[in-house]
Amino acid sequence: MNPSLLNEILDLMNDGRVHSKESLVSALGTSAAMADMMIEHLIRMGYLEQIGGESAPDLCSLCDQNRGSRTHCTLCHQQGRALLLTRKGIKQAAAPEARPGTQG
Amino acid sequence: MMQAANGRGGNTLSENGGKGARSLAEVPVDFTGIVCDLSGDAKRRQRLVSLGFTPGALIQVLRTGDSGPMLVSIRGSRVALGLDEAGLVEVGEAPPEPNPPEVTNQKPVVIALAGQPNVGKSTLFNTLTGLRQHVGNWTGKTVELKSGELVFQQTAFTLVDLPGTYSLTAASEEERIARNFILHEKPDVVVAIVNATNLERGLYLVAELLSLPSPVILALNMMDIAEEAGFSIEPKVLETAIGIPVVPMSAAKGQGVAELMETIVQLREDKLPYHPQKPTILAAHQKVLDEVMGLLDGVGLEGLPLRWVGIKLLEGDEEITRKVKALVRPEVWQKVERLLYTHEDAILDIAGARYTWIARMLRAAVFEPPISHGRLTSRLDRVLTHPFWGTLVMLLLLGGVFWLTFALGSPMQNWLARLVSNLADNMRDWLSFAPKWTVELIAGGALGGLGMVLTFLPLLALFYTVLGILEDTGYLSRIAFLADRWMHRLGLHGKSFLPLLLGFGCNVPAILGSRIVESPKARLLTLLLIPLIPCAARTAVVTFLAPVLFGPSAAIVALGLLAGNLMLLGLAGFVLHRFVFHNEHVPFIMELPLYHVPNAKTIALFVWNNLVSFLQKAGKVILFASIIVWALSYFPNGNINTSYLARVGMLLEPFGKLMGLPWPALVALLTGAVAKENTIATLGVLYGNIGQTLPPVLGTAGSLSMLVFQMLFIPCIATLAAMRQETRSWKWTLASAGMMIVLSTVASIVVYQLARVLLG
Repeated sequence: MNPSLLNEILDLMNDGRVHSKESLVSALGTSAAMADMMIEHLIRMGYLEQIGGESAPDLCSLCDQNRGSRTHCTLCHQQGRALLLTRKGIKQAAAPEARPGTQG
Repeated sequence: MMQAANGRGGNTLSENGGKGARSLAEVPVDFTGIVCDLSGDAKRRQRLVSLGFTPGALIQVLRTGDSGPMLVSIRGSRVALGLDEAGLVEVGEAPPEPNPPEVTNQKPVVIALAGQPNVGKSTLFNTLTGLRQHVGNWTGKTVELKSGELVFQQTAFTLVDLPGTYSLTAASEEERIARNFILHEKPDVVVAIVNATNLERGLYLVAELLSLPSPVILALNMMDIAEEAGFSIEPKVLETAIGIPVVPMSAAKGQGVAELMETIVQLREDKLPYHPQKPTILAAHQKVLDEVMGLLDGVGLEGLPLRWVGIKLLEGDEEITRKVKALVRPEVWQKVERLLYTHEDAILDIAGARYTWIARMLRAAVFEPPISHGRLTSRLDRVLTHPFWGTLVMLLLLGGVFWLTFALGSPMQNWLARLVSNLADNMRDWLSFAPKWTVELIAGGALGGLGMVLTFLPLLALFYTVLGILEDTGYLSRIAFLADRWMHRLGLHGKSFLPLLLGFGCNVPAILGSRIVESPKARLLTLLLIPLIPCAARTAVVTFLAPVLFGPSAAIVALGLLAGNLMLLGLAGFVLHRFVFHNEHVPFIMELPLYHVPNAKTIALFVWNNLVSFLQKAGKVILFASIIVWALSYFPNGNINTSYLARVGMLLEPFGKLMGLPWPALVALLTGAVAKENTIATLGVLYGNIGQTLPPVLGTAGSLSMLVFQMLFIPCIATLAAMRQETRSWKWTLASAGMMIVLSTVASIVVYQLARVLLG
């Protein structure tokens, strides 16, 4: 059995095989909703860290381009966010795991 | 026939009309009857159902809606309804009370309803139990636990509505209550209700429920909505894959509810197969799990299932860890703890195994509707985010933006410049009676500076329109993505990326955003890099000056300047990464919006907001600066060449000569340190109609040098203030400003001297 999907996300990111959420979804062969769920889970567990997106409005309100309307931003689109591997995530991805599974 | 235990809860789900059905809005006060049907759109029907207005529910009118909303009593609650909403509810007379149903079992069968919030759990609970509900707190907790009674096929059931939860990790009180109820009260059946349109989320909870001792039935709720949305779900295939009964239903419409009850009865009577396929875990962790279970075997775990306890320990569940630690001997716990410590990564594997399990189940039984623009996005992104083709398209698009802006905007800009110039001349005639300095203050200072900036408006409107279209289609995010790829190749890939990205809009939030870079050294260098990013104001000023100075070649010059600036940034990033981050690898992914057709209203709003903001800035800072610059260039004797400003300018002239810039042009660039647009205003004050006067004064080499200086000079006072705030050091703030001054001066000198040699 391959590493579990959560490990696979960390591996894919660590190896630089995916650069966007779309390519991640495609590489995993899952739905976007499923990828979102797993990303949230990894963030909660401290393997991923989110920057931008919903955490950025404080900065966006200061931006000369945003004009306080928060409807648009020239480059750092409100919908956009970046997900970083934390040190914990990098450490986990570096540990090779490809062992056969058993019934749990 | 299914009935609530009191017989009046109205749970004959097949019932679709009482005697004399009519609109609720028409019935008198004190009317008592049942809900027969609901009309209106799906959203309003859903809201009514969530309030308890399901077919068969007993309803009493407490107040009619003659003067405001009407008040009714339904399912033990008082609900206020507007007349419009009341008109959607069809009511009829209540059927005569049936005889109390006969039941064959003394102890009711206990059914726990589990599910996430908003999956229709309460609707199902209300539908099944009617008025026969109790609300109680669970062993000293504040979260309420609702239970209700029901008789079905002469069997008494007790339904317990567990709190809505996403998982059973005991991270919240709701989760603890839900799992403790199942663990300690051991319900006869757990019905896991999931939203059929979002099975992924619901199945995570199911994966956890399967490891608990009670049998689980999967209720696929909102099947009607899923079908409308194009989902194709095969309940029978899902049933075979998971190995538990699966019942499709639409609780809000009462569909599938009787089938659910039938399934519960059959499962209780062992008439249905039940072989749950639980998530698997890696063999290595299975071995640890076996060892942990071996150590805990024989220990009284207060009735908790041994395997479940083992998994929870591997997952690091705090509550279970605390409980087991208190129950076992210290030497046994030490051994358990050692095992857990050496397999910390099991946490990720166990959670990951549930997702792998979900993916397997869904692959077998669910076909999601193809999202056409999702596929379009993937196809477009194959080209637009490609390192080579994507970059080429980006350069062509940006070149197109500049070309379009200049081709359409320049004639308008020239026309407006002539208009402002004529207006200034007329102003001088009209005010010939006033003192000369007053006339010059208005005609030369205010109109010369502010008027020149206002001629900028058509260009800005076009620039922002094209930019807005690119933004609204979702393309601009791809530029950020491409930028990430270049930075990745240069090695600058990590937390400093976001602040740098923000800098393209405005350097101020970029500087504040650098807080996310934890290492003080890396953060400081990120701060020093940010002013190198061409912010929108700098780009806009270049957009204005390029056609003035270069005419038809403006688009190529502007694009070249932007590219040169980015190359300089890349070089700085390379140095930063190599010598400061020490090649530290911080991988990350970006989330890109889907491409879509731009919305005219959104773009209009974007352009409007930007123009208004520009005018506000022009009205405050630029007008003020124009007057100051004019005063300094007019006094003490009305001659610019002997003015205070000229004296300052003369001091700078040696540098100016090296850069090919006469002192007024240099002074104009320096005033851009307050706000970039000031450069244009000052040029307007000092040169008049710059379209005619500036190109011959500067020549091609001088013009290039001027634009390079403009791109690399201190961004603005606000950026320096933000820098001071973030570094908390004047030393570093001045160092940043000094670096930009040196860099812009040296780059301008190099460009000017090279251009002079090459262009003659």
